[in-house]
This record gives sequence, structure tokens and C-alpha cells, in this order.
Amino acid sequence: MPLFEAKNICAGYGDVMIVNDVSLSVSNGDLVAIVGPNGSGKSTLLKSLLGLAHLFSGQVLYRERDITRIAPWQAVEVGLGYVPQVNNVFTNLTVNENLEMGAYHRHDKAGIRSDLEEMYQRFPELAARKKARAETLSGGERQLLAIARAMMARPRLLLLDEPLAFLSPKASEVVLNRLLQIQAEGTSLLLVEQNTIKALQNASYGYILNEGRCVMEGKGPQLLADGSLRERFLGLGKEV
Amino acid sequence: MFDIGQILVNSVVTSSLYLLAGTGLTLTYGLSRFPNFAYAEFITLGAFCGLFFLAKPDGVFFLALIVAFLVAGFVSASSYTLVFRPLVERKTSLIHLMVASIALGYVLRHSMGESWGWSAQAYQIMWPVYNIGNVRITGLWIILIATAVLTAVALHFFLTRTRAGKAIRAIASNPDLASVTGINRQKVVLLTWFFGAGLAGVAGVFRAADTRLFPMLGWDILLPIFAVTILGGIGSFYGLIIAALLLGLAENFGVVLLSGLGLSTEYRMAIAFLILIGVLIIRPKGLAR
Ligand SMILES: Nc1ncnc2c1ncn2[C@@H]1O[C@H](COP(=O)(O)OP(=O)(O)OP(=O)(O)O)[C@@H](O)[C@H]1O
Ligand SMILES: [Mg+2]
Repeated sequence: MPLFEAKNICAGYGDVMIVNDVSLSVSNGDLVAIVGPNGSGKSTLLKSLLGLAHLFSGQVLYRERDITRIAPWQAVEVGLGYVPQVNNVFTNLTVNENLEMGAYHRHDKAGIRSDLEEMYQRFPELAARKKARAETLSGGERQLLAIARAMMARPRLLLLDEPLAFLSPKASEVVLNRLLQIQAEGTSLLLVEQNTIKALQNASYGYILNEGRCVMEGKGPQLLADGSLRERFLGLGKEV
Repeated sequence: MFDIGQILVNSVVTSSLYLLAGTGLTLTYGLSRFPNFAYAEFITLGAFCGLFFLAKPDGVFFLALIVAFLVAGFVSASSYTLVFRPLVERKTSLIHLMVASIALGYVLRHSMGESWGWSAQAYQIMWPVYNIGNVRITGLWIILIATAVLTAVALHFFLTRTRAGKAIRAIASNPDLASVTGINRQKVVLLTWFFGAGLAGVAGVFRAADTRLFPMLGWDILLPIFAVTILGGIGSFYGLIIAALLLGLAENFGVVLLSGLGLSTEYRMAIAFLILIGVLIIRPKGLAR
């Protein structure tokens, strides 16, 4: 049984349909990647799963429970964490307050406190900046904070929208390693990435989106090895 | 004729009123992102609620404050639920929300005029007057200043220490992220509309007790209240405190200047107006940003 499934998603903004009949599924412990060129609808797809973009039709299932069109704030209770592509921290709040907000729906005070400690151990960059307003963080630190904030809800599935974009190679390496660690500890990841090679190398399964449609899906490394795909949709050279 | 100590006291009194009246406006503006012109009527409504208790000299002032808080809060929360929330959910534009708020303001103001009469009335409660040196201060002013200071301190702790307070700041900072973080935005917004307007109602009682009571009471001070909100940086509570102090000082020293120039003190509104326009030109995002 898949952990998470989206079936025949058609989504967009207002009357405009951007994502057209896309289906995907994530099994427990998986890292699933969604890749594709700019403007292909990757962010819209993620948003529509959480009620942040208009869902024209389709079905969203979590452990076979229908969660289509739940309110965005209820997605967290179900077990879905989300790290948006932009504006993914509360800039006016301190690092610590950002993390507390991540646990907003939880009421187990002791658990929250120990999770806070754990996040600071896992992300020492943040521990040093606890009292700093999030707007003063560097791009990489913000990305880590956004991930840590989402983890504070103890999600079973983390939806990540281009967490490696705009980071220096070093920072991007750090963030990717943390994500793989999170996956190894049992949280499934649905990862949207521009960095196709890194995403597909690590993904157990991948979907390639183009102009709102899924043009190809398959095991991550296999997609990467397909020469015609590399040229047509991934913007990579023929050779691996 | 004008004692500097007296001007300072008058300024703090003015500032306290603007702070109480402006708190709800800045918090709801920060969350809902449109200027609610009907806000003036929550102030007036509170003042009229006070009349139930203060029409006789032996009225209980404290009771008037509480009832004004509850009634103004309730009407505000209802107006959000019945008028603004449906519009916001349909992604109505800013301009339409503003027009709706002006329209709602008309309805409330004229309903109050029809119910309580258009001519000015006065609370009958008397206040002791203290003279410290040349400075005159009334019991009412002392309660007003104390209420404003207590509210500011309480709100500081509320916004920085409590779950609901942090949620308000989180929504103001990033509404979409707040939602996916598990914050039920509508619930928090409704709560803020209630408490904010409740404070406006309290301000109305103070204003009526210090001057007179009439249906235009709130509308007449809406401009300086918007001025402090914008000067402080919309949505910023700390900016509001500083802005209220500044405008209180500017108005009261300005009044002295006006009479020095032989002009009517009725021009005091022009001071708020000048400051508002000046801020919009020089620091459009307010002092706090
Ligand atoms: N809020 C919005 N309202 C209307 N149209 C939008 C909105 N956000 C995005 N779009 C449009 O939807 C299309 C897909 O955008 P989307 O952000 O989903 O692409 P993406 O694959 O995430 O691109 P990128 O790699 O640049 O992040 C684009 O044409 C974009 O202009
Ligand atoms: Mg995107």
C-alpha cells in the first residue's frame, strides 16, 4: 500500500489549468523526485495537493484515506510536511519561534521540547542562531530552518519544493545530506528539484513534468541514463 | 499660558487613546491586509455602550469599559464573519474590501445615529482633578494612561510568549506558510478582530468621557488613528507605540503653535494629515520597517 497517492491531478490558479492529469505515488521510506523545466507546473502540483492552488479534479490519498481538498492547515495533522520554494520561513519570527510554529498543532509539551533539542543537534547552524530573526539568516540557513520547521510537526511525508535552488555547491551538499539522513530515519520525501542529476541519482522513483503533463516516469537512475530524455526535457548533455 | 508639563501630560493622554484605538486596527490590518474604515464605528459603538452605565453620576466606569469591549468585539467579529470573510475567500480585490468597509461603516454609524440621536450627549460621571504644580490631571486621564500602558505590556507578553500570539505574528509575516504549518488562520483572525475592536470600544468610552458623545465620535478620530498605524508600520505593534507617542506630542505641541499663530485649534486634524502624507512620501512602510 502506498503511503501517499495523487491520482489524475488537474490544477491551476483561477480558471487557468496548469497541471494536467498528473498521477504519482510515494511508498513508505521512498525518496520520489519530480523534475522538469522552469514553469512546467512542479510547484503548482505540490500546492494543489495541500490546498494552496486550485484543484480542478483528481484525488489525493494518504494511506488510502481520501484527503482531497482538505484545508491547508489540516495537512499537517494528517502527516504531510511542506517546504515551499520561496518564502519558506517566518522572517519576522526568531529561529526558535519558527521551530515552535512547526509544532503548532501538537500539544505534547515534553515531546516538543525534546524535538526542539533534537533539531538543534541535527542542525547546529540553527542552534547558534536561536534568538536571531529568520530574516537575518543566509540562504542555506533559511533552507535548513524551513526543513527543520517542517520536521517539528513529525511528518510521515515531506514535500520539498526545490530545497537546493540558489544555494552554493557547499550549502547544497549540506542540505541534501540532511535530507538523505531524514529519509534514512524513516520520513518519506517528495522532492521537486531543478538540480536534476542530484535529485534523480538519489531518488527511488522519478517523474518528469513538461508543460503541466507527466511525460515520463521511472526509477531515478534509469531516467537519468535515458539519452533522449536527457536532451529533450532535462537540459543535460547526452553523456552521463 | 502654556505649561510644558501640561503639554506633555496632554500628549500622553492623546497617545494613550490612539494606542488603545489603533492596536486592533494595526493587528487586523496585518492579518487581513485591507484598511477597515468601519473600524471607526467600533470606537463609537463602545462609547454608546458606555452611556448605559454612565448616564447617571453614580455609574460604574469599569463596567462600562467591559461591556464596551464585549459589544464592540462581538459586532466586529460578526462583521468579519458575515461581510469580510466571504469577500476575502472569494479573493475580492483590496479596493472592493475598502468600499465594503466604508459601506458597513455608514450603516453602523447611521444606525447608531437613529438609535441614540445625532446631537451630542455627555456621560454624567464626574472625575476628581489633581493639580501637581501647574499641571492639571484628571482621574480619567490617570485611568486612561494606566489602561494603555497595561494593555501594551500585556500585549507584548501575549505576542511573544503565547501560542496564539506567535500565531498572529506568523500569519502577519507569511499567511500561506502559516496555513501549511497547521495554523487555522480563520480562527486566529476572528479572535484578533474580536479583541482588537474590543480595545477600540474601550477607547471610545475614554474618548466620550473626556469629550462628548455623538455618532461621529469614531469617524472624527479615524484619520489620526490611521496615521499612527501607518507611521508605526502596518501590523507592527511596537511601531504603533512609538507612533502614538509621536503623534500625541505633535498634535499637542502643534495646537500650541496654532494658537500662537492665531489659528483655530480645529486645524489640529491637519497635523495628523501632514504627518500621514509626510510618512507616506518619506517612509512608506512606516518607522518600524
Ligand atoms: N499564483 C499564480 N497565479 C497564476 N499563475 C501562476 C501562479 N504561480 C505560477 N503560475 C504559473 O503557472 C505556471 C507553472 O508555474 P510553477 O511555479 O508551477 O512552475 P515550476 O515548475 O514550479 O517552475 P520553477 O522551476 O520555475 O519553480 C507558470 O506559467 C506560472 O506563470
Ligand atoms: Mg517551482
